[in-house]
Order: sequence, then structure tokens, then C-alpha cells
Amino acid sequence: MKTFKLDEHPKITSGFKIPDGYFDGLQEKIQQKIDHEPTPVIALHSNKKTWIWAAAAVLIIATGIPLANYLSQPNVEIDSTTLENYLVRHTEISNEDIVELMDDEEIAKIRVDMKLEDRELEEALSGVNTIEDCLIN
Amino acid sequence: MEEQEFIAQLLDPKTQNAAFAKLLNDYQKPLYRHIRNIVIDHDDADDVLQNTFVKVFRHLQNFKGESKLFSWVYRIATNEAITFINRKNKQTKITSQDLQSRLVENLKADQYFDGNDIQIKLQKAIATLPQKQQLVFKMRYYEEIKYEDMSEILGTSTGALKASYHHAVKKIENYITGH
Repeated sequence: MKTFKLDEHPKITSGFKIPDGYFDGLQEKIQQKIDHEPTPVIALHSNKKTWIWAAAAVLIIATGIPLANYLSQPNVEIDSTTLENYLVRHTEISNEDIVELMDDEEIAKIRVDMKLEDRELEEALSGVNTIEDCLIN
Repeated sequence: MEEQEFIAQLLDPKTQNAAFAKLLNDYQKPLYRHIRNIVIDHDDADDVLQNTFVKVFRHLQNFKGESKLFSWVYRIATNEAITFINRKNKQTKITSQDLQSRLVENLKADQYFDGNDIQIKLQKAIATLPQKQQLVFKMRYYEEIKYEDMSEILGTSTGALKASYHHAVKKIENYITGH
């Protein structure tokens, strides 16, 4: 059987015929369609659903991102010892800074009555080996 | 006349009607041929052609001049023809290839077809191809549209179009050899 080769064969046309005079009336028919067919109007309500979905999506994103951030943060409770150690190490926080954050009642609670007799003071100091340090500081 | 000048006339309400009449006159025959090759039946081609020109007129304001007017008009015609074929597929509940085969089978009885045996055989061979390959083959072989223009119309690279045409030719040659 001889193999058919398209480029070796004379050009094959489609064989379609156009009815006589078809193009004569075409322009008029198209013009009539343009003049009489109403321009398609996009009704507002057809976009209603799209707007509702868009609004819902914005709402979910607006509330979802902060919520996700909040939930993803580990809930850490710092114990008082860690906090105290932190405050001790960070010397830039002065006693005055701490006192400023406290109300009068809290300050009164930590106030220590320092009315000591000279004799009691001497006894206390004599029990401390690094007396020089105490005196200097 | 330069294309830009013609497009300006199409967009200007004062010159629009005359310019559109010229566009109709220039494009009606090649566009009819293009659409007829896709939909096969004359009455269907007539419907699609009219709808194409109505669409072209209604969307003139949207034409940005980024592509050639020729490509833009052909793109609208191609989309209209493909949409028509797909709608027909849905209505008849058969595949695109089966529909094409059925349309080709009816050609012998069509008063607007006077093809001989090899022309019918070629139409039958084309009907066995996937839809995109059919389109590429028809545009290249029957209409002799350049690959560069086809690329603008179909939004496909010239390389892919050449490959598609090459595959189509091989399948057609095998079909005709075997029948």
C-alpha cells in the first residue's frame, strides 16, 4: 500500500460552497442585529453573591489572622523566682523604678522598721565576717 | 490606511459606522471560511459569523491595540465557534470528535459541499484529531495562517503550534493511508 504524504499531494481544499449572494445581505443582517439587540446589561443582583462571598472572605481574613497569631503564641507563666533573678541581673532597673510601679499599699507592706539600738546593731555586725564590706557599702 | 488610524475611526462615534462597514467588508469572507472550517455546517457558520461581528462591534471599546486587529477579530471568531461546538456537544451529549465525525458524514448530502473523495477523506481524518489539533491543522493547511499570527490568535507558542501541526499531519497521513 502506498503511503499517503500530504505535502506530496496537490493542495486539497475544504470543498465547502458558499450560497450565491450570501455576503450581499450579510452586512444588513448584522447591522439589524446590532441595532435591535439590546446591549447586555449586567444586573447588579447578579454580582450580589460575589460581593457577599468577597465580604465574607475579608471578614474571615481580618479576624482569622489575629486569632491565629494569638492562639499560636505559647502560654508562658513566669514564676516569681525567675522574675526576681531577671530583675537582679538587669541592674539598669533601679529600686526607684520598681517602687514607681507599686501603689502605696504595696510599698507599706515591704517597709521595714529599721529602729535598731546601737547595741543590737553592733551584735549583728560582729556576726558578719566581711565587716569591712558592710562598712564600705 | 495605517491600522492605528483605522482603529481610531472604529472608536470614534462620528466615523464608527463607516469604519465598521469597511471592517465587515474586509473580514466577512476570510472569517466565514475560518468559522465554517470549525463548525462545518453552513447555517451554523452563518449564526456564528453574525454573532462574531456583533461581539466585535460591542467590544470595540475594549480593544486596547495590544494585539493586531486581525488577531483580535480572529480570536473572537474562534472563541465563538468553539463555544458553539461545545454547546452542541452538550446538547447532543456526544464527544467533540463524535460530533465532528457525524457532521462530516452528513457532508455528502450537504448542498453547500461539493468535495470529492479525497476531500471527504481528509475531513474524516481531521475529525479523528483532538479539538486543538483540528483547529491548528485547519488554520495552517486550509487557511494558510502564519504560525506567528496563529500564536497571537490562540495564545499558544509557535513551537507548540508547529509540534501540534506536525502530529496532526502524521495522524492524517496514517488515516488516509489506511482507508
